[in-house]
Amino acid sequence: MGIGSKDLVIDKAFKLEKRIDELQAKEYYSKDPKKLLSLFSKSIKQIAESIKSIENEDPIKIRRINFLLTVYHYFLDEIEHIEADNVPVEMLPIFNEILKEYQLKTVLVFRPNPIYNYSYFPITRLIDEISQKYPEVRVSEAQNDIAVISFPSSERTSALLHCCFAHEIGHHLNESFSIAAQIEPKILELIDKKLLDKYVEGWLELFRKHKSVIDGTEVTLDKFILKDHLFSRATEEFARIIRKWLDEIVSDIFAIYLFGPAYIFAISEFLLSSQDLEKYYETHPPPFIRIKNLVKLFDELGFYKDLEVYADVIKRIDFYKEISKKTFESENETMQDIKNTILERCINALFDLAKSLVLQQVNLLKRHFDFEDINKAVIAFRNLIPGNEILNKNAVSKPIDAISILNAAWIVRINFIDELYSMLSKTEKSTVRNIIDELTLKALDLQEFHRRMV
Amino acid sequence: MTVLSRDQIIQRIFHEDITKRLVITPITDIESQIGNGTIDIRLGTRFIIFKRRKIGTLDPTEKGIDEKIRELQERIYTPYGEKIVLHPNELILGGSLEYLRFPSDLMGYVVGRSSWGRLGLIIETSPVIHPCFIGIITFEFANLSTAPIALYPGTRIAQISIHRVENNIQDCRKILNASRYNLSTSPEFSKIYKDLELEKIKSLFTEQT
Repeated sequence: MGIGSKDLVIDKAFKLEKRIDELQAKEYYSKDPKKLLSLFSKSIKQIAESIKSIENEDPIKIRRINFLLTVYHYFLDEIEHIEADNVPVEMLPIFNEILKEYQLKTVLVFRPNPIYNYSYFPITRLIDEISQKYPEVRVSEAQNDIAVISFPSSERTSALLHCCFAHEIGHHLNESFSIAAQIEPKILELIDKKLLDKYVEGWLELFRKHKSVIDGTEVTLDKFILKDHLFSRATEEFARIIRKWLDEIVSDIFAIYLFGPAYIFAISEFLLSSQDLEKYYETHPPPFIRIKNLVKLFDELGFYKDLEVYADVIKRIDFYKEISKKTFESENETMQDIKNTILERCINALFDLAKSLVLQQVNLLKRHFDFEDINKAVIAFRNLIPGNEILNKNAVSKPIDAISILNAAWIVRINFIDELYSMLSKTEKSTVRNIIDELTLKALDLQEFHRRMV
Repeated sequence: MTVLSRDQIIQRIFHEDITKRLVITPITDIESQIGNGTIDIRLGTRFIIFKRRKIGTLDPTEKGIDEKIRELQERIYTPYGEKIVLHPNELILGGSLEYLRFPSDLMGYVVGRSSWGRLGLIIETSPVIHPCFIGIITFEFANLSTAPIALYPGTRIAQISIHRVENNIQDCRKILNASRYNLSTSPEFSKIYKDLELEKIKSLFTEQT
């Protein structure tokens, strides 16, 4: 029996079914993870049935199904370790409420990530796409749209850092309203053609340096390369990167509209703690570009004025402005410099376009935070009380919104950390920051209680 | 030491000066939550349960007892709308939904509501809330009945009577670290190993042997 044989693949499916059974017996923070498990269970059963019906001597089909099972094995990992004690349950109602407001029926499953990162994974869409590529397997389409949002596992109780979730929700809204997809055609228009030409020239120059001898004559390699071909290859590569960056930028814009200043503080802290400001990936723009655009939006939305009484908060924003003054534009024009400049110019130009499209969506909705409430909650936090102390004698008074609580907690963390530090006589500021996080989670719990029970 | 009346409690809850204010949050319905001389408090969503299979002797003088306590207890979460079932002779820890902050001249006593007591539920075995306490209250639930009892987060579970402490002029801000359970937002594991007299007792034991 060789590897990939039918029996081994049947065994693999059997083990997956068994693991799903075990996971189904676990207790989770809500019923949502079980919805995903039911979907897996159904799909694996269907795959197992399909294997049985395949002729033993059809190794290609068996290998394909084997690969599909490996993919499911990977998917199953998304549901490991999501018991209530590993997930910041107090924060989850915020996101379910946002989805409800946008009339989106997506189920969000939150899971701790062993990698220090936040991520968004539209798992059912992916399952559907994969299933379509396997006509030999009958996997029915997912009935619920389920997305997995992950967070760094060591940060479970870091309520303030979890304002980064807003970005992941932004990804979902971006996909649901096709914001980046609508802007995509503009990418080609906005790629700087002069710079692109210079980039291609640089490329050709490299080929000119390489010589070959053909029939006794020395020939440079550029003679075999069409400039137009290089031009279209470079355009294609840059457009692909920009398209991915656009998703990030749009998600950032959604996040700041939904979460206000709290999002800027959270994402900047996350980016600054984990990444070089200029380092970028094909999937993510460099942090300085993201921070620069967010601070710009912070000004435009008038947050500067709303927060001017908190001197250290303003200093923090000014610090973000300072560090994001960087640019890839330089006189030292290596090919890498030119590429970076093309990407930077294009994504910055797309930012305003993205902003106006996002605004069309969020403008229809109420703002989720209120600066008067934020100021009240700041006072409560400074007295080491969860930010939504209900003080009004009128029993039907409106509780402070969850997002206002998060904003207030951030203000306290930035502006009043020294005050709390000396009051609590702790040895480490991290202990004080942890206390603010815990008070915030308690405040969110009380807010949820008030929302549901009163 | 005098017991505060309903009006006095309300007055202290809405006191503008934080050093005098009695913080109990959330107060969602003042009429039903504050009775004559007592305040009702509700059950929170976080619990600590005991892993029976792991239980050995709990000797507070033993080295590594803090780890042992953590090892035999497990934190669980029960959302609003769901229940946790307490079986006969079982002990679990729960927390109050309410977060409290006591000023220096007030203290409280936590007493289980008699309606629960009549079902066989013991709610609190260490009822004193000291002046300047800040945080949630940890309840020790034990079921003395012969039938399991279901507990739902958000239900009124206990009440606190508030007492005035005469001539106590401490600045609460300066003694925030005095209580090992201050600033807790969910039920806390026992920190008995921090008792100072344990070291002395342990050394006596070593001398004798």
